[in-house]
Amino acid sequence: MLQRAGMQAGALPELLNLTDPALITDVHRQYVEAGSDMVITCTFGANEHKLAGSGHTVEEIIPAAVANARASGAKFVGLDIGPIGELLAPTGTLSFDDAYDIFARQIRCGAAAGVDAVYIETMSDLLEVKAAVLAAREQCDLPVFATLAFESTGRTFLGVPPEAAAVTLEGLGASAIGINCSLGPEEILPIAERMCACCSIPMVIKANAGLPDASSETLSYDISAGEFAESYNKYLDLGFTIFGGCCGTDPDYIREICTRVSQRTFRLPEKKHIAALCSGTRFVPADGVRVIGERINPTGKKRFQAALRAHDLDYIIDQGIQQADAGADILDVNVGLPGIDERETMLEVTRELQSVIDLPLQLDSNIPEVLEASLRRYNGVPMINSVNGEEQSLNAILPLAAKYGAMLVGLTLDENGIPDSVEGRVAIARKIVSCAAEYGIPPYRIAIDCLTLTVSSEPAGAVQTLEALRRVKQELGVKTCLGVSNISFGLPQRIKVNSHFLALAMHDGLDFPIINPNLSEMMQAVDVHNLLHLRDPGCVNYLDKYAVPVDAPSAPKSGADSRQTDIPTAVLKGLGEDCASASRRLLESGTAPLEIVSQHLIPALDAVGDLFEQNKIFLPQLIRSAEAASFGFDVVRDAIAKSGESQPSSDAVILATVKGDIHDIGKNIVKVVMENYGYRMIDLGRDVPPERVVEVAMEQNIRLVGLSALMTTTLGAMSDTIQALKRAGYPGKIMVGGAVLTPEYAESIGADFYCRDAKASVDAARTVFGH
Amino acid sequence: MNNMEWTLDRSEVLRYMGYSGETDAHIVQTAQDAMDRLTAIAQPRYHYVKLPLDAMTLPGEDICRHLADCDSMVLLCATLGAAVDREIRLAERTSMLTALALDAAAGDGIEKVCDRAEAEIRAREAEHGRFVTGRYSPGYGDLPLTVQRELIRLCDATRRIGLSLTQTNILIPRKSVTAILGVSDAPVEGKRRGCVSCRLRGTCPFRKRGITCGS
Repeated sequence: MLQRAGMQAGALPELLNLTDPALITDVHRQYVEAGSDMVITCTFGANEHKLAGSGHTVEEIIPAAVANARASGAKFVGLDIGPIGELLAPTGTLSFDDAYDIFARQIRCGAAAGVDAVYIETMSDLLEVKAAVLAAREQCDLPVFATLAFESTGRTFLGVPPEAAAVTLEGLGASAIGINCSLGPEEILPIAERMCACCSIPMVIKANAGLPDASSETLSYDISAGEFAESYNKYLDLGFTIFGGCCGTDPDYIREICTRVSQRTFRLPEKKHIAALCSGTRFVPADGVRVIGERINPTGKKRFQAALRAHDLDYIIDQGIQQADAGADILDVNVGLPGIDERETMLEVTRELQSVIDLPLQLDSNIPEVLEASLRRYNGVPMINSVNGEEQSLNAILPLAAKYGAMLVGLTLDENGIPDSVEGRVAIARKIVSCAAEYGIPPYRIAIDCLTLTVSSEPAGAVQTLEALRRVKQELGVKTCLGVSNISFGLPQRIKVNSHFLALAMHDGLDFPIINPNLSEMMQAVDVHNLLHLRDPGCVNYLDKYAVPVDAPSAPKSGADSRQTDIPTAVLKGLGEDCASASRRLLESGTAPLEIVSQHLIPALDAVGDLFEQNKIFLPQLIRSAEAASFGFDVVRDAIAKSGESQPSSDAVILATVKGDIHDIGKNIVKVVMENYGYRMIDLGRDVPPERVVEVAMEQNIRLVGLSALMTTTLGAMSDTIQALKRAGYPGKIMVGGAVLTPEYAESIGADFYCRDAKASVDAARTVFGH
Repeated sequence: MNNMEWTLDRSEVLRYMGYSGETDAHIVQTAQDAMDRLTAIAQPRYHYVKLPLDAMTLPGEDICRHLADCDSMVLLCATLGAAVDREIRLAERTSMLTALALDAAAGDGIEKVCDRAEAEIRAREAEHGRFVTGRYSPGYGDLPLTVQRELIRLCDATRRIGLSLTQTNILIPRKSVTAILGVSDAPVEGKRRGCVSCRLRGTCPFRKRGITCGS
């Protein structure tokens, strides 16, 4: 419309609110005359990020835009909010909190200017739309509409499925949700059907006028106003009640919609009673047994505790990846350990897990502040673990579950502990369900945990737990959850008891077993349950997993006769398992663990490094050798741990990709290679501000800092970081690397070492540490 | 939008990985697996607009040379989509070798997508007897990365193909390209990419081995 009225392509339409208010009002008026009940302000990009450099602020544009819309005589004015234009981490670099602040500023302006609703649209990142909806809910009392743009693949650009969008946004208290832009009404229909199947609140459709004309030189679309409005009848049938037009539509389209829609009766969507979790890219309905992986938890796990204390995120994230590979549907995340900052750790671990694994998470903590912080920033619908029947717990946890739309584990215990009787546990479950109802949390969003007692000390415990499980499920309409392995505590061959108890519990209606999915017997019990309970049509899953014998682990392939492969050969050829068995053979023959490192593994890596320098082997082989050597190092570390000796303190090296830069594959290669030379790598990640590098370097008495930058534009940040280190009196050395660096430039900004590749970084470290 | 058939070039992928030759069967297989995985998960998309030369400010001498004798230009944006970023992030956690191979496959993949878009632009202009230069991207020569912002806006690339920028003008998703092509009535070459105008000429590991990075 604005372009038709003469606006230049590429100009910021938001500025017209100031420079040509009459034009904007006139466009709004045309829509009002065509029958629009609500017009949305010309503020799609009126956020501080997109207005930067325009010479105008959010506070100037939004009130002007609202006034222009009001002047049209519209019944309702909605504040239009589009994507920020910069993506949130982990895809981009913007933090959730910054995104929230950007939206909050727009919404405060709009609310103060008197809009009737907030209209968030064309979103493709679930976390970004969550930030916007939360900001709207917290900054004003207005109705909040939120719509996303989907592609013909049935997902948004960032991979959000419509079901995940529906449960997340409804859970956050949006007033209406739906779909806009990208496609025409015909193409959107199947996506709308999917969203509708999970949505119990009013729905919005605001499609494009078909698909853009193939010729990209013009802005025309392929369906007429009549065809457009006609296809909206199908949306009425689905229960959509709010209609509009996006790209390519004009007042004629709205007029046609009004003509047709006014002849029909509206009906609100039915209540769907959806129990589901999701991440930004995966929807997990609780429509059968859903395995919750229990391994991200320090309780009783020395290695995990050590990782938490050492801030070894890699180890923790690995636990997540392994469980995902083993078939878990959801991951429990518990990082509570005395002496660590649980809130920060929880945020960091959930953020990292969500950046590499698409499984939904169960946020497991007793501390409301920890839960609230992570619920807020979680992408999707998580599950809270847990609330119980104590007043204090109910008062603290239920409001959080309600506000963030999370699912919730309810433990059947209270001030008096775990009731002995089945009736006592059912009573606590009933209390939890009725208190939750007061907060608007329906029973199907609660998973009651009837608590597993140890059968060796409580002989009737198993029977009672199962009986309570059956009853809460039947009587209260809840889902159920159970930590299984406690049943066999103190018994031999626990897996036998655990897997059988799991089978019984699933038969009695267990929805969410919390188990170790890495134990194949446990996952087998789940697979068999699904097979026998009509949850594996055509036995597809069962046949897929069990029809062929399990192969030996594939890469790295073992040599012809692994008994013969020595460490140098295994490392050179990248044979991890062979390297491990060669290391074990040396241990058995009496070689000291540290001697294996200094006399075998390091020399083997050196030989590979020499070949690399001579261009006889190349980067992929260097990395492969480092990864193979890590199998040997693991054997050595285990041996030292078993002997009770403390691990030798190794020299620590900081690695960081500098502020503003997010290219980090090079830095990560350096990390893998150096780790396998025995250095302790402190990886600060990418886009790291100078202050952070200085802080860690000074606090931990670091002697070598490695900085990486891949763009000419971020070399300045590298120089800034070096200067900040020097100003702070950092006494150690600095190495730098990255494609755009030259040795001369490295020297000019005060770096001690220019490292052209990972091997050169190892050489720099040897110069610094002398070994 | 762009349902395209595409084929990656394994020797290119190996080259991006920093590998020479095809003798190490395991490395070659790793590259092939990464290529298969990449083609399965990538969602290649591109979008372009044709505009007059003064539609945006393009600082630097190199772009002037690139657009010499042209009367209009095509702004091209292309991406492999966010799923590729996710896959590489995950691989970096499990196997750096796989991550390196995926990164290389994606590097070749985005070039192939651009080749396809360029061929389409070329064919479309040829119908009118017009000629098109090669692709020239922000960051080459003295064309600054800062022009990305305007280029993406003019192309409506965020809405069309899901492309956006960080504060420091890095494209997100990471495996994406923006480029400028000149259009003219007469045959035009544009400014060649290549080692002559590359700032890394002195230290380039490819050149030391007697090959090039291919840009």
